[in-house]
Amino acid sequence: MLTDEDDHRLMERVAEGDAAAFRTLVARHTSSLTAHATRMLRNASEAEEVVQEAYVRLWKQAPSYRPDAKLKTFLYGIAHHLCIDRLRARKRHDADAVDDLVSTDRPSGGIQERELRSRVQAEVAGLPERQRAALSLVHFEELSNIEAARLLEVSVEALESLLSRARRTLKERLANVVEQGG
Amino acid sequence: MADTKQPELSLDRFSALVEAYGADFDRFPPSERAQARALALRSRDAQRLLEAARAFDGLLASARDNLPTVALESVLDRIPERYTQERRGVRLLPFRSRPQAALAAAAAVLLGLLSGQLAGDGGSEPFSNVDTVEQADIASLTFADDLFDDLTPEEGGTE
Repeated sequence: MLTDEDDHRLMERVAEGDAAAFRTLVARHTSSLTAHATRMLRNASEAEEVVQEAYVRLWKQAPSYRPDAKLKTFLYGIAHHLCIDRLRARKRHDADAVDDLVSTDRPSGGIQERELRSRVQAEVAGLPERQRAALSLVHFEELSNIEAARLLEVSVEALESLLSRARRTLKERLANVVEQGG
Repeated sequence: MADTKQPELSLDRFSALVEAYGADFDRFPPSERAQARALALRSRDAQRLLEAARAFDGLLASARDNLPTVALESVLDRIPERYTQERRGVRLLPFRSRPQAALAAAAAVLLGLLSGQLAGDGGSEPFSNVDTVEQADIASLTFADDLFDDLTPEEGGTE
């Protein structure tokens, strides 16, 4: 399994123009990065555009990269800011953007499983932006609370508050699913 | 002998942690993990909180997917060949620190000035035969502060 140290070593090679090292980083981080962007943007194709842009920036800026933080946090930082830019542009240009939600579901698993996933994803997508970001980073992408707080530019206490509110809201909205499952 | 025992975690704090992070202790702040585990071992109330959170964590985990499409993978694969010309400050030498890079840049400038004088072309500008983009690239060697320049900073605070 690759470690954060390996990430930094790979970035050293990427800085020197090593395409194979870049592809190794892509293979390592793309799934989770795409998942986070999809949760943030509630639109799978826009999320892929963000991921692409994040990697282009990573490649172009690699020569000046300094390993002050985990590469994962750095990469999520780029993608997250790109998502926020898009969400703000969407708010400005299309107040009804929420109506255009595209299902983040992909056809895998049985029908029940797909329906359940689709329902949970829709409820996660319906959370306010910052609660959604906090939940995505900590629960799905497994960033530490310190990394996530840093990325969202809030204190750890504020992050905990965002997470609590997100989970509470989801519990309420998914109460019938929880009851059926339990 | 000094007492090195950590203070006990209150059930209220335990509840707040579970509400925020769910039942997985690995998500808890590292400084509170051990106390949380200890409390979970001895308190029925803590165990009940964990049990409820675990069920909800399972539900949340069911929403985990979003594999990248083959199209995205293919686009990402081509980034190095498509964008190599546009890289900022292509690293010409493996400088690992800013002082090293600054020293090398200063030496390069000095060398350039000296060679200009020795050539004695009387009137032509130093670097006049150097492409502007190349100059910009050399100037940005290892100076990483602009990494997030073109990213919009997010507002602070909470919702």
